[in-house]
Parts: sequence; structure tokens; C-alpha cells
Amino acid sequence: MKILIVDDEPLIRRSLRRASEIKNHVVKEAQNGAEGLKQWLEFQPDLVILDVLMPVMDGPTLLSKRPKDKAKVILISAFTGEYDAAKAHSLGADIFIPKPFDNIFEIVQRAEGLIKNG
Amino acid sequence: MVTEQQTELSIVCEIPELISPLQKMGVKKLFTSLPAGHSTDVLFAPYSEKVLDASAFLKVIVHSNWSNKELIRAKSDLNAFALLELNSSGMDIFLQLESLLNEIKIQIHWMQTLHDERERNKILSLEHADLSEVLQSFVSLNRESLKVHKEQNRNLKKNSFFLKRLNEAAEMSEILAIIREESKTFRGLGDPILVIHQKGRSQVLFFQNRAIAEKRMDIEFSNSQQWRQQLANILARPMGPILSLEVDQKVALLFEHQMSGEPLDKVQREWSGLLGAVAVSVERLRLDQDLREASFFWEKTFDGLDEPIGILDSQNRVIRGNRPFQPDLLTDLTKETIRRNGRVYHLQKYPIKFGEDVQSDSRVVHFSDQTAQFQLKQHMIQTEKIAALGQLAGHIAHELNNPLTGIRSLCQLLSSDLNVPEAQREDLKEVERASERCQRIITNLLEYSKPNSSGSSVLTEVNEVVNNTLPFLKTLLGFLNVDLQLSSKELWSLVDPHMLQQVVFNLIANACHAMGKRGQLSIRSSLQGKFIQIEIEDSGGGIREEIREQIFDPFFTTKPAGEGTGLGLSFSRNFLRSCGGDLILKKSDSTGSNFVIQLPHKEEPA
Repeated sequence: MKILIVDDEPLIRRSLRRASEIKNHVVKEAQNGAEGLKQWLEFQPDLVILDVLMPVMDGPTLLSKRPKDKAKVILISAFTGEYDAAKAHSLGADIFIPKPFDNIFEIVQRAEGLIKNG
Repeated sequence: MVTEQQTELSIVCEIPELISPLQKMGVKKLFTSLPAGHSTDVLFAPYSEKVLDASAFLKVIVHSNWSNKELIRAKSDLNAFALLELNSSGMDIFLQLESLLNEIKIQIHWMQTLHDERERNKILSLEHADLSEVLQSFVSLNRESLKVHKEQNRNLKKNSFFLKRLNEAAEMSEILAIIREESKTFRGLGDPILVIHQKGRSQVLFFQNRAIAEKRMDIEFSNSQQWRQQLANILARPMGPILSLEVDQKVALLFEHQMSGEPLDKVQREWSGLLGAVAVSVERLRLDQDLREASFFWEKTFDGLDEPIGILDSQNRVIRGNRPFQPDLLTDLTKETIRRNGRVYHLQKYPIKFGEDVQSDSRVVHFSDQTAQFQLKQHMIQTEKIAALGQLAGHIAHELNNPLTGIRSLCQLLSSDLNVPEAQREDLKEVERASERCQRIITNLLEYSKPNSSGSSVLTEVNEVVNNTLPFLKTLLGFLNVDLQLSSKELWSLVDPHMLQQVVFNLIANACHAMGKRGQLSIRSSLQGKFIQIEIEDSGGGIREEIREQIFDPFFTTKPAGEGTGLGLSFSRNFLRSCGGDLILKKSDSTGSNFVIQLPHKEEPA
């Protein structure tokens, strides 16, 4: 599947890309919300992995401007207090995964699960 | 020769033959017989019984032819002056008479003179007697007055002795005893009772069973029945007649007595005089007492002030200091803020003023204890810092989290990539573990710096909290020997984990401070009945007995001012108690201290 990774942290983008590419997914990256929106429109991903706190435009703002397509959204963030599953849903995301990740492979698995289940 | 007086001689001649010769001789007063009861100067008479009785100055016995014997007898019997013999011739008689008369006249003259002399002597001796009498009475008067003076002197001596003793009396009861000594000399006078006037009250000292008792009455002294009745009540016996003496409405002296009349008056007079001295002594003792009390109160107040206050002279030498005052506080009088023994003082100096103009050279130095305010300020600063830090920490943590997540994830990827040699994969695994540890620290930091206000109790596993806290203390734990004995069983309690972590952190930090570079820290957790216990034991020097209760007081700290806030133990205990637990200092001696966190145990969640 096509996966768009929107996060301002290079290492996170890199590791997510690598973990996804091992599973033969196609990956595009964006380092802030604005770029992410551009990529979303161009790339038309199946899945967007989106960070909350980013310069220029943050995750929630991007979600409010997202194209109305069928892409699934995984919201990732270090702020476990303010954001949880319910909040993520209300913003338009499908699941919420807190940082730090215990296991990078697991992230990809959950992403696949999302797509498979529709 | 014969004087004029002689012509006045009165002669009685009972011999007829002698009449005419005597006349011829010029005797004017010539009689022939001496009537009874009369006296004459010369008597011429024959020897007879009558002559014995005749009263004449000189008796001449006329005889004829007497023998010597008869002559001697006549002279002695009759006490005759002369004897005239009549047998002689006329001329003889005449011659005899003449010489006789001359003799008589001389004799009488002599007698007269003698008589006069005697009379004069009598007068003189009378006068002399008078004089003696005067002298005598003068002497006896003097003696009398000497006696009186002696008595007065004695009295004076006695009185001055009395006064001296009064002056030396150090207690009211002594005064009463002295009065009794003095009054013992009066029989019929009972023991004295001393009444000292006070406003609305009377202080009464009296003898009771050989001792002196003192009682107070709630009415002012007066000679009224009412007062006397109260006095009888105090003495617990009826009273007889009382002699009451009062001075200046200050002091009254009462004597029970069985006297009356003059002795009683004497007592009254004497004691009225002495009472003035008694009043003066009583007044002196009262002033002494007041002075002592005032001095005592001042001393107690001065010493009771818990801030150090000293009085210095112009050379900055200490004249007087209260109990908390230590001379070593004076090392630098120019500094406004002084820190000593863990306290922070603000130095205030002001000169001592006596009256309007006179300014003494001395001054008062007052070390005002500002420790609490100082610590509060520090605490507030620190709280703000922490709050600011908390916010900052949140941002920093987040900033760090991102790259760390990346590092960790990438490591995971690489260590599972079989294209990478085994050794390097192992290395990468180590890197991953290290970054995981970093993440844990950051997570804990984030949690720790969260504001407490909305701290909520959740079911918390206590051992985990302990484990989470330790990484924060790595520096502090340094080279210490840490003995961790957490229970293998999970221990759950309903508590705010952040707060609990702060408590554990606090106690371990304290333990580390108590030990310094070397020591043994033991951390044990266990279940004791219904309570979970976390014991934090150090091998430091222990906590002094005197402050073991104080350590839980807010703001109490043994750290120098500026380090630590003194709030740790106080807040910790309050928090634990609010959870149904407690913070207990189980043991503290020279081998170290052992603090125990107690929490109510909640059954393991299903």
C-alpha cells in the first residue's frame, strides 16, 4: 500500500520508511503539515502516519484540511496526556499510537491491520 | 578690860551682908531672891538644895569655915563657879567681891562670847546643813536623772537594736518574729499579729503552732467587728481583747492581751512609737519584693524571647545577652543578613535611650529570625522554578523523545536485519537498550514535572514506582552501596503515582545526603498485614533526638539556608496520611535512620 509519513523527526521518518519498505509498501515522506497536505493531494496514500506537533502546520490542522478520501490515518504523538483514542477519533484519525514506540514493526502491523479491515 | 555689857549683869544675892558692897560696886540689877522659873547671870547663895535647881549662869556659894572636903564637894555638887568665905573682914569681903566680880564679868564675857560663837556656829552648821541638803538633793536629782538617762539609753539601745534587726529582716515573717522577741518583755501580752494593707485586701501574718502562717483576707483592714470576725475565722479560734495599733494606713499591729490600765497604756505608748519603724521595714520588703518580681519578669521575658538579643557598649563588648544570644553572632556587625546554625537572621541595631536627651553609648542588637520567611521565599522561587522547569521539561522531553524514538526504531530495524553481521547486531541491541533507558527517563521526567493539582489516585503498583524513581538518583547515589529488596509480589495501592514517586525520591535523596560519599542504602518493600511498607534505610549519622518530631514540621530543615525547602517530609507525610497511609521514622541512631512509607494495600486487580 501507499503510506505517507508526516513527521518533523528525520529518524522517525527513516525508521518508519524502512520498516514499511521491508514489507514492500511504497512510502513518501513530509516533514511538516503543509508539505504533508501537498503530498497527500499528490500521492493519494492509502495510509497516513501523522505526527501531532510539527512546525508550519501541525497534525490536527492538517486533518481538518485533508482531502475527503478514504485514506486511513494513524496519529502519533508524545503527548499522551492530552491526546488519546477518543480525541484522535474526534480529530478524524483512525487510531492513536503514543510515542515512544516500543516496537517499530508493530506499528507497521497495525497499519496493515487497519487497511485490511477497511 | 570689862566692857559696857558688864553693867547689865543681873545678880541675885541671898546673903544680906553682901548687898551693900555690891551696890557700891555699881551693880544695877541686884535682887535678893531668885523666883522659881527665872534665871540670872550670877547667884550668890549659901549651900542648899535650892541652889542645885537655881538657874544662874554663874553660881557663887557663900560659906564660912568649910573644910577642904566640903569645899571640893560643894564645887562639884553644885557646879559652883566660885566659893566666897564670909568670915573675912569687911575690907576682905569687899576686895574678894571686887576680884570675884571682875572674874565673873570676865567669865561671863567669855561665856557670852562663847555663847555668841556657839550661836554663830549653830547658824553656820544650820547653813551648812542646808547646803548639804541642797547638794544632797542636787546629787540625788542628778542620780535620778542619770537613772532616767540610763534607762533612756537602755531603751535607745534596745530600740536601736530592734531597729537594726528590723533593717536586716529579709522576710515579712522575720519582722513578725522580731516583734514578738521585743514584746516578750511585757507580761500579759500575747503573740503579735501583723496586718499589711493592700487594695481591697489584707495580708495577715500570725503565729500558729510555733510557726508563722500567712493568709489573705478579701476585705481591707479596719477595726470593725466584721474584720475581727474574719480574723478569728482565719486563726480558727475565738479571740480575746485586742490591742490594735495602726500606722499611716499601711501596717497594723495587733496584740491579744490580758492587761488593763497603766501597763496596757505603757504597751500602747511603746509600740506606737516602734510601729513607725515596722512600717518602714514592711515597706522596704514590699519594694524589695516588687523589685525582685519586676527583675524576674524582665529576666524571664528577656530570656524567653526566642530571637537573640544583646546589649553592647560603645566598644561592642557584650553587656548582657538573652539565652539564645551567642557572642559569635557578632563577627560582623556591618552585615545586614547573618546566617548561623541553619537560621537566617536580619540584624537590627538601635541605640538605647534614657529619657529625652540622654543617649547612652550602648546599643541593642536584635537578630530577627527571618528563617521562615527566607525559606518560604526560597520555596516559592523553587516552586516557580520547578513550575517553569516543568513546562520547559515538557518541551525538552518532547524534543528528546522524537530523536530517541527514531534511534530506537532504527536500531530495532538494523538489529533484525540479517545482512548485518552478528556482532554489530549485538552492538545495535545495546544501543537500543541505552536509548530505551533514555526514553524511560524522559517519560518519568514528563510525569514528574506534571502539575500536582489534579493528582488523582489510581491503582498503582508500588514496586514499579520505586524502580522508576531510581534512575533519577543515579548521580546522588554515586558510590553508595544500594541494597534493593523489593517484594517479589506485586503491591498495589490506590494512590497518585506521581506524588508517591516524589515521596520516594525525597526520602532517598535525604538518605543520600545523610550518608555523603560512602554508605549503604537499603530499600525494601513488603506487605505487613493490611499495609504495604516501603523502608528506606541509610547508614548515616542518624537524626538528633531533640529534632525527631520537628523534622515533619513544614519549613524545618537541617540543610543550610537556600538548600532544600524543608517541605519534603512535611508534605510527604501529609500526602501519605491523606491516602490512608503514613510516614514513620522507625529508627534513628548513630548507625543511621530508617524511614517507612506505609500505604493501604489494595487487592490485586483481577
